[in-house]
Amino acid sequence: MALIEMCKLSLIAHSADRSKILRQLVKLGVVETVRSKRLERTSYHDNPTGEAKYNSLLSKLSFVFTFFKERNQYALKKQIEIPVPLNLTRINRLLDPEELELAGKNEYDLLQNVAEIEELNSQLVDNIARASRLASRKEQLLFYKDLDIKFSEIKDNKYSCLRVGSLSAQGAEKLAEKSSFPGILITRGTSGRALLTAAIFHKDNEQAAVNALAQADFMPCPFAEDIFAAEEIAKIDARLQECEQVTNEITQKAVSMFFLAEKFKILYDYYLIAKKKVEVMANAAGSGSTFLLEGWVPLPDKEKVEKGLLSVTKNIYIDFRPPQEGEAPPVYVKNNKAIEPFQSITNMYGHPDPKADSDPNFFVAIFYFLFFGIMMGDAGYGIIIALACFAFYLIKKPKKSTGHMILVFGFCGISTFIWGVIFGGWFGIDAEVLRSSGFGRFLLKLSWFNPLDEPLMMFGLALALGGLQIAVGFAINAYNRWKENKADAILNSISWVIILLGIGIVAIAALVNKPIVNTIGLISTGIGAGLLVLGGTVGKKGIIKKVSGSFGNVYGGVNVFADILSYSRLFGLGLTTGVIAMVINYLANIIIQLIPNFIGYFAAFFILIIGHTFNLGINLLGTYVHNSRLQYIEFFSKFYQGTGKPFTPLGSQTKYIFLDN
Amino acid sequence: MTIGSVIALIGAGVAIVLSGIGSSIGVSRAGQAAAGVIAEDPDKFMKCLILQLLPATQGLYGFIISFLVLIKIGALGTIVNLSATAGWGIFAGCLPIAVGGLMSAVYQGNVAVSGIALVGKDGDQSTKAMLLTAMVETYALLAFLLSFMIVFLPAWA
Repeated sequence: MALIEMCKLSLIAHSADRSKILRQLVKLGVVETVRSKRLERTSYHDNPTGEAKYNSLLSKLSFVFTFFKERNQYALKKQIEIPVPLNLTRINRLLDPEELELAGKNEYDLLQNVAEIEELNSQLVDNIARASRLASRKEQLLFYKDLDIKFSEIKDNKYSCLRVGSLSAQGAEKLAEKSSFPGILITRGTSGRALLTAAIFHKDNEQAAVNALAQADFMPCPFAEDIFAAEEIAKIDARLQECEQVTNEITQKAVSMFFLAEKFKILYDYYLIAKKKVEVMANAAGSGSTFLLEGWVPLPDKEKVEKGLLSVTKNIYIDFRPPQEGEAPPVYVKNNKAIEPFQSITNMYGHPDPKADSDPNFFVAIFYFLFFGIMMGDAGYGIIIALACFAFYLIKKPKKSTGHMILVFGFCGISTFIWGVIFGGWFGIDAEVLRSSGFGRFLLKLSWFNPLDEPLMMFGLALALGGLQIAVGFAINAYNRWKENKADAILNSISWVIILLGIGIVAIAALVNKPIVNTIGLISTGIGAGLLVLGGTVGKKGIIKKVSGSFGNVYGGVNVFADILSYSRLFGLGLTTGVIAMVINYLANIIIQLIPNFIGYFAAFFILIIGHTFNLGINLLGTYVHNSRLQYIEFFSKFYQGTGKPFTPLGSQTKYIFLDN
Repeated sequence: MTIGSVIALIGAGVAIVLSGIGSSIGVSRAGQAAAGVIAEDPDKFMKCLILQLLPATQGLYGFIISFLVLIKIGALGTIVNLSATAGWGIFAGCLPIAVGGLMSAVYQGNVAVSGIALVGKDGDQSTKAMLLTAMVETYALLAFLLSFMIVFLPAWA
């Protein structure tokens, strides 16, 4: 349970061994490289072409993933058979580094597949363009589908003229109203839309007729081919179907390649790591034939790294040294299996800074566990959460961060169960109903008090736990600052521990009704307050600054009490869960009373399932957020900076795999 | 039924209606922002949905308080005849969550909108967006607690 000390690795080796050494470092997975010192007669060798090469390969693979995703959606829509379902999420197993190397060795086979996929894509793009051309022609032709002459037959003869085209409804009205058209107008189509119009007029009237048509916004037919519109539409439909057929065939080919997705994912990360290696080498100063590589290694892994490197080559110089003044090593936190999952909560706020922080995860785990149960406060829900999370964990075996969050919720399910038993909360079932059965009476016997019946007690409990957590926060702060400035630690941090302890004793005195205990509490509070007033003077010069410092300290105390009041949310959220659960049961009960047959029971069952699922879901969300908030704002503000840089060893930044190292 | 009981019932209505209005505004604003992000990247649906849901709790708090009022005056069975003073007392108890819920849900909705924009830019920051949004809810929770204490604790008669 602690921050792991880091040491700096420096190694000098032959350029010829470069790739072997890098491969070994990835396999070891405990070295975070940094920009090395520049020794005499060495320089850094950027390798922009190497980086560009990997960038282009990575974007090729990203294209494959997008193509697969789109084809998958299409196949699902058109019910095309998919032999292997597409999975583009992280591969949920630890990958042997050898397997990664193997992916690299087989890259040419896979790149050939990528080329095939690119070919498929260009066919698809052509096909889609063709289909959209056809569709827009069809759209235009559809207007003339009722025209029973060929387009080529729309022409004038010796004495008369024929014009076919579209006329807006208003245009048609305009012409009809004025009866100004010197000829015959035939219109077809539903009113309100553009009308298919044929205009026939004598050649002598051509000028007047054309003008009248133009004023009515007549659009002449754009086609002149020797075809019937309806026949042409049928032909286009056939061609469109061909296009769809082609799309389906391309999709089928794409779908049949989905089994390669896993290989592509591994190859993607192979390139990602290869690109990282190029970066590493760009930061290693080198002469013509040697290079100097530096990085951080957790102290316990020192020997493993040394042995691993020597097994690759004997021509290597390795040195480890502790961090020097002014260096900021990355942070590596290691805790036991029970506390480790809660690290993800702390890390969301920030990683501990080795200079200012000690590892808060032990306390975060305890308090997060403790508070979660109070905010949910229902034993039934607790059982469901714990069972669901642990079952998911055992069956799916999620890796690393996802697995940690699932475990956090699993543990918190246990906490919810325990507090639920204490509060007598079982799916929000009314205490009177519980009392009517033997088992219910047994469950109630286990409970300490019901927050609904004794809200003040619950309020007190919430604030007391808040005071406890804040006192612990101040104690850790004192511990962190002890070496630097003992007076400051005692006067400004321990003073608060004493004050909060005193207030706690006063509260207990009120419960047990012993005046002597009360006096002890008051004295303790007084001593703490005295220390705090003195604490304001630490590091201040001049009487005025000392006095104002003391005032500032006392005034700042208001914030501490505001923080403690913030823990009333423990009560508030617990109340929400309980009351909503109660309301759901109430509604189900009313339904049964209204419809006392199987339909009623069925409806009530439905209400119970949906209602409790909703209540569980929304309160889980609320509890997760507010519990985190208590840790971050109220607890961490007392002692934790969280400005550390997390340890990211070579080979840990992958997108689709977890490397087993 | 006495005038006191009626006043208490109006209080229950005010609590649920005002906090419900607040939540509706907050959730709808967040939902509109979420739709934009989801159009760009459908995979962010869950993250956006969670953020959209955060301003919904005020409406729930209001609902709980009105339900407690109903229990208190026995509106689910035979109605207790409250004095006018007791009715106004319960009415006063409904006000914190009614007004506090209304205002905080609207403002929480605004933070949720910004949080959704943050998720749109960088999906990994969704937890931080959630925490920022939850900060506003503190005041709704405090209002809820006060309402609960006024409505539920005293023996109104």
